Amino acid sequence: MIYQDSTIVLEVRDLCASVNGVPVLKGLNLTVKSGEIHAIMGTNGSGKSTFVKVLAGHAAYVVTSGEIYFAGQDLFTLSPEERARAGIFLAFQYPIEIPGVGNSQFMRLAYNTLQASRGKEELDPLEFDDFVREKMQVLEMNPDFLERSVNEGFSGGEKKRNEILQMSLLEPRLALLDETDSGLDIDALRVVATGVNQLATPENATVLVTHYQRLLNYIVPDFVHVMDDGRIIKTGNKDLALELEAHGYDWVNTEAAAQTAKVTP
Amino acid sequence: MTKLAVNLDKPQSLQAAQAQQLPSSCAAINKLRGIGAKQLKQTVFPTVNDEDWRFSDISRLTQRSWNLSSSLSQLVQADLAAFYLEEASICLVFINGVYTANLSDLSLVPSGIEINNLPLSRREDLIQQHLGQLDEGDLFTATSNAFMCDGALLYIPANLELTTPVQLLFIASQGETISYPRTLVIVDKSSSLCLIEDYVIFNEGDSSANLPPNSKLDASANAAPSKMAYCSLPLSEIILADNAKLEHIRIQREGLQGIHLATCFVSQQRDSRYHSVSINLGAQISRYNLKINQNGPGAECSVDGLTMINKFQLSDTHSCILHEAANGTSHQLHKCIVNGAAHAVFNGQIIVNPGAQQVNSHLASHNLLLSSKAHVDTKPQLEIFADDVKCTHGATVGQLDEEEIFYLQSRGLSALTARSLLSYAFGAEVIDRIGVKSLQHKLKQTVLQQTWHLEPSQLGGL
Repeated sequence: MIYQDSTIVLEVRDLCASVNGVPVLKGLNLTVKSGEIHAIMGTNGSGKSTFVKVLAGHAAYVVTSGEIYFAGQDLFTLSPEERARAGIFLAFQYPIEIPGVGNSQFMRLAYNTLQASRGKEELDPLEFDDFVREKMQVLEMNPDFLERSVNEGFSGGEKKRNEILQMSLLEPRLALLDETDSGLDIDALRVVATGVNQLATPENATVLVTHYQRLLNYIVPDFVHVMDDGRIIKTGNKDLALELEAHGYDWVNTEAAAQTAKVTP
Repeated sequence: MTKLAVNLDKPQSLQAAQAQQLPSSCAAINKLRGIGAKQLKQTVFPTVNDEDWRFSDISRLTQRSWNLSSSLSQLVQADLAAFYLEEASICLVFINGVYTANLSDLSLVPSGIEINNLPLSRREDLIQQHLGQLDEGDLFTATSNAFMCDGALLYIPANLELTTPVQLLFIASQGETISYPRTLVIVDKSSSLCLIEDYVIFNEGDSSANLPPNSKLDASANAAPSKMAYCSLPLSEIILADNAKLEHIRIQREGLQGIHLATCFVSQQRDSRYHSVSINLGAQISRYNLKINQNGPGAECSVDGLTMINKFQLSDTHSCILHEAANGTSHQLHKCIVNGAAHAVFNGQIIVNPGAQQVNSHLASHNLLLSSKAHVDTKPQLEIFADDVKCTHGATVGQLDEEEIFYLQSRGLSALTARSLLSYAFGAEVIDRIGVKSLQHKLKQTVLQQTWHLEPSQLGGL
């Protein structure tokens, strides 16, 4: 939802980043205010996933120029865990399996780490159990998942639900969802979307990276951005996603190229 | 009986000591000793020039002698409180290889099931039929045969399921001694058993050395940091009849100056299931030879192992799974966590003989090195002589995965905590496969102490 006079959560200016020496992001600009939901769409290799990993602080992605401010703070001074503690959450496209560590134990460790860093109360195992079971109901998750190892043997849909469950526990200021919808059937998509919608408040913001317009039937974005070759080349409202679905990405690219041509004759 | 000393690399000393033993009350044992005496004449002490020992230099063993007998143990039940498992109401205790009735508990052995110290058993028919039938007569099994005294006998007759796990507690309590823990397990048709072999140290000569297994005083050590040097040569023989099932848990947590050279033979008949988890934590030098022979079709085994060592420990696991019959399956996961200047060795051999068609076999060896001086040698060894089988293997050696660390950091955990958690998880995956909860919990605490590089208060209740 777009609110009048809401504060800026994320400000990205002319961001350039490379992986293994290959430039992937080439001057990306984006402003996200609290309360807003942004969808970033684009073809494979356009840099969508790289962008959210840079935001989360993945060491393999090297920022070569540009600026990122998160709630007014220079993001580049923060380590990945400090970003998480400050309120950035990345829901992974391919969540990691950790055999040998119980899902409940892992989530409590993460929850308590964040609570401690925010000067809030930590929960003991029993308190946490009640707390997490309540959250699981929203996501229609079987409580058995608490006893299993983190993501081990989970189906694709179960892993994604587990990501959203963690997001609901950690209550981020900025949620980054990296292809959370890919590989989900309609039922799982509906459940995951319900979770994301319930977590959206006027105080936080969400950036969805997606391939498919389908997700946006369930999570209505305030802004839709089209990425190509490491930059955002077009921004619109939710209708832009429908146009993309109907006509593909080519017309956007052509239009962007034409505009560039006009500006630099 | 005069105190005798033997050198393992001097066969004459072994033979001379063997000849001076008092006869056992059990005819089968005397017969086995005779066989062992003959085997001793044909064996030599292994060196790194032997293919089977080329990664494990045990020459340190040749420089010393061991006493054959120990004085009587003064241990009482309270001393062993930390070792008894609440689930295992049946327990046999052997101290320096000698059966100790007053520390054992056989009161809950159901009638028909035979669980006893081997020489005390009335089932001499079983002992005659099975004892010493599977071994291959190398130096250590020959020595075990030649000096056999006491041992655990477990016999589960057909169509019986013993729901209580049975614990065999082998305690080393005196320095300078050599002992021969011995186990014979026969699970008859369609029966099942859960067996825990537990090798521990309790130094009677220096009670201050007996820190509880999870003491925080020396979190870098997996085992009791005792200076007591001793040698243990365990030998287990396991016979699984048609459709029998065995859960076999083996914990080696000898003292850090102990020597542990163990062998286990498993014979599997048609449709039998053998599931084993072996955990190697202790000893200065340890070796575990596991030989599984699937003689009958449709047999299934899963063999999981975790070696976690530190300082100057050497731990070697050699396994051989032999598929002689069709439709068998074998799954093996062996993991090593190596710290300090320790050295881990794994050799996993799987042989599929002609005629063993439709065998499904998988072998994985994963190794985690936690220090720059840690060393691991791993060798999956598949030998396949049948043409319609599915056999896969894989081995990894390395440090932790950066993607996994990033995932945990993105949840707010520090890089150090992330590394600790992943190292812990690496070991815990194997420990999770132990079905005895109290033991699983204790071992997880041990893994935590070895892998967690933070204050214990930050363990987060894992």
